[in-house]
Amino acid sequence: MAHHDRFDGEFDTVLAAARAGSPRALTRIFTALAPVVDAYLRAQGASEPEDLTSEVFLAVLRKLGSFDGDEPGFRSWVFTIAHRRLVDERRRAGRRPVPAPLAEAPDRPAPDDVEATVIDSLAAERVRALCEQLSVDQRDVLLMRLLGPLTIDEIAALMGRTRGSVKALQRRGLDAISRLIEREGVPQ
Amino acid sequence: VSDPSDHVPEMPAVPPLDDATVDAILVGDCGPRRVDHLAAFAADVRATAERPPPRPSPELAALLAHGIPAPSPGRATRSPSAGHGRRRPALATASGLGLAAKVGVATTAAVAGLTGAAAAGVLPGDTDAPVRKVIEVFTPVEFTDDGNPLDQGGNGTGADPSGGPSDAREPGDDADVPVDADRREERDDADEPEADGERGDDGPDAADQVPGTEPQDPAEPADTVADDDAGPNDQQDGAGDATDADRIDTGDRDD
Repeated sequence: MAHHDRFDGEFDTVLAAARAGSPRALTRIFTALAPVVDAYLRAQGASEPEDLTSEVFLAVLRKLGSFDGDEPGFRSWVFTIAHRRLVDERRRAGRRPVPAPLAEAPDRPAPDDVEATVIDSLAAERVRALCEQLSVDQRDVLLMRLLGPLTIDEIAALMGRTRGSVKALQRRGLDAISRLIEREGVPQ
Repeated sequence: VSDPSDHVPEMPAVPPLDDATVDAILVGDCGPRRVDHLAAFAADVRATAERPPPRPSPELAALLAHGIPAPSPGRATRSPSAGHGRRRPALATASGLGLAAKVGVATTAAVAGLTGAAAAGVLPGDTDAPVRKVIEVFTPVEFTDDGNPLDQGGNGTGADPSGGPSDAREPGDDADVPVDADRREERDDADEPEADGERGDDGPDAADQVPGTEPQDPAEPADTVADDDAGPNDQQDGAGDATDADRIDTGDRDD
């Protein structure tokens, strides 16, 4: 499957305009990548994924001038920031009492197709439930590979690991998911 | 006698995945039929990113609506140790002046600089004399044959204490410098890599690196060096140190 270019081949133009402060270009970056970051944070079990996504993009958009690279590099850069924020949230969550679970339904405009939205929500919940049973590192690697999509090398650099370590994590993660689906009766 | 179905095999029904199959699943290619359930899982994960973007926070919404102010041209060349705390308010003050006042300020500053340079004899030999001439024409300063100013009150620059640099200032200069502007500048400093030297960690700089393009700081968050299956509790401290610095550094919430 070819990589889904969320900027329709206009990344360089959008980036240049965003660096110049164009609200339209900034919004384009947000709408292109915020769903991915939000999905990553939700699947990771972040307690307030929307707030965290906003934090990530505040940092991303304010630091655009420090980025130099192409669209895949930009996605990797955004994911790096998102991952660091997530790690920070994990640490903070470890210091305070666990809050009551929040409603899963995200605060978004009402969809036209309610049935499809319900199915999507159930699928997202199933994804989160499966990922929750992985080790933290397996989950990090699998979600970055699937959602980024980041390459093994990009993840290795982000996590400070070797290629071999990342490959082992993704294989063990998928093995674990396979066992969960086939033997523990997680509903499909 | 137990039923054979009571014995759940310890090994998974599906044999361990090889690298090619793992790659096929993760990049969305069709793998072997025996991993259809994993391909479906991967598709479900990807589908979670096909939703509309989440609602931005008020702060982010304001940024998206109004854009980011273009950085001032002087910032990029600023040295971290150049004492910009003194110079920036002067620039901020000048930005609030009228055109004529700005020309006056610029001229005075240039002449003052040249005067000092000429008096110090640091200008090239061929340049020194013409510059002194210009200074003598446009300022009260006069130079002796050996290049020293005549009307010195001992400072060697020839600048009249009553009519020198202070003439460049106009009443209310200090008041023209918003206190908030200074504070904002200080916060902005924290955003810059130079200002991070004291951290000794991989906070924002490491986070903002494009992975694979620059070496990682060895002081990685603990989770990056933990065993593959280490739980979250094993990873908290080091990771948090880095990202706390990140948060402070970016000043996200306060701007």
